[in-house]
Amino acid sequence: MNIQVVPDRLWATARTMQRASVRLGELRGGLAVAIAAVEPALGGREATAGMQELWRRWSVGLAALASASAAQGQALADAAGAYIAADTAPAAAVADTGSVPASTTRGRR
Amino acid sequence: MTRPAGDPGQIAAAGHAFAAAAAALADLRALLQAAAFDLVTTGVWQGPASTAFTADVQSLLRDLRGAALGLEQASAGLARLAGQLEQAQALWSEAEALAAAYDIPFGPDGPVTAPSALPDLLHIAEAGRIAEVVEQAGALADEADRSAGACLRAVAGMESVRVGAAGSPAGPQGGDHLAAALRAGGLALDGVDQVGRATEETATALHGVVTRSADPAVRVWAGQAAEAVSSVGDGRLLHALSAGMPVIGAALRFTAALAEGDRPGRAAARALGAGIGGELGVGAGSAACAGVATATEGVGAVACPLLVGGGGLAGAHLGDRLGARAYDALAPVPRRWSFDRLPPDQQEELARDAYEQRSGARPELFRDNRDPNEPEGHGH
Repeated sequence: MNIQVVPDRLWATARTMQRASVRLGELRGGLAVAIAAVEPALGGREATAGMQELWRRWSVGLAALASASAAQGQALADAAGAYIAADTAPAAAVADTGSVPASTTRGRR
Repeated sequence: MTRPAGDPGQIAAAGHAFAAAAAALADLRALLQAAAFDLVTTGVWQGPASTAFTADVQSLLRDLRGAALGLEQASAGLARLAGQLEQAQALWSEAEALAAAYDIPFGPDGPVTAPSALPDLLHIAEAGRIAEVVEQAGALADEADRSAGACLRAVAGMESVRVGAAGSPAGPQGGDHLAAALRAGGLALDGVDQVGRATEETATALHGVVTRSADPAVRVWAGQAAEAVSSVGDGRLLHALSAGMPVIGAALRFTAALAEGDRPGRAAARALGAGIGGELGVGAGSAACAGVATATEGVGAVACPLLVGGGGLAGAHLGDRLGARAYDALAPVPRRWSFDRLPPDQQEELARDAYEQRSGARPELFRDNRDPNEPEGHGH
């Protein structure tokens, strides 16, 4: 097995995924407002029922996407932390590779 | 029959909101895709955890694409509904105006059409015409409602799935196709090159039989065969193709390795290794060809194309592998943390990192019902 990684890039991607999760939550909120506003304006029974059905499923689905993105971001952060913590000789690795020292990256989430 | 209910303006506004949300999801997907590509595909993060992460991100990207498509469809459905409803309401207003012009009573359910309530035949006829317009408005509104309901239910029913640890199997990527095409092209060029080389070696082997054989009949046969083989090798096209083979073949191998995701240095090492290996293989095949032809008094020369070509291909393949290994062993790994020092149990722990567990807890997500290879509005 050969595991090679740059922890600071893991942190950066983790932050991107966390931001994406927040953005997904915002989008879900925006859609909720739009749907609440349009529902009484749809007029017809079929369209109203369709919209209700759509939101019943999609409110869960969008929340799930946000949750998945956040979970993956957190998992990346966990992995970065685990890599750093498990590195038995970080100082040597820094000397060898010129990468970011473990002490400066640990805990950056 | 009543005036078609609904607010087309409000519906159109909701359609715009859906379209904006779809665009935002597409942007978000592109952002995540770029981040994951940068982390994994550039080779910065390698190992089992990276593999698990890649599978999860691909799954998330598919879900985001499906969600964006669904929102686009819903947006289109709402826009259609707004347009049709506006048309239906305009028809109803037209009927109201006609009724007012003829002084025909027009209630919430439409015009009064009973002959007893109307003064003369003209009004009875106009009331009938107005009733037809009202019918049209109602039918149009009903159709719009049904159509929008079906569209929204279809979007709602983009069947949700529980994404497993591995997600859906990813189809071949564009880079894989390119690499395969380049490899096939390189193989074809190698084949042309080796046909030329094999004819030369066969002719040489047959000439050797001519000079060494004690049997005059064998010498005559070998001489004729050598002449025939040489005439094939003397073809201008074959010569022209063979002359460019080393450069073109190396360039194709280098590009194919890049398309497979190798760094330029590694791709160059593989191309160089394949070139050297191919030459050594052809040399070994030629030596075997000469030996077989001599030992069989020329008859074995028929095996020369196989020996030379096979030797060249096998040598190129082996050289490619050895070049990659040599690069991996010798090239520096800049700006990387190496975890080769980790004890095996910790490596195993990392291999089973949080992705598997977290992805297992992932709730219902959207399914993209379209063909994953179908071109989409935004690029990969």
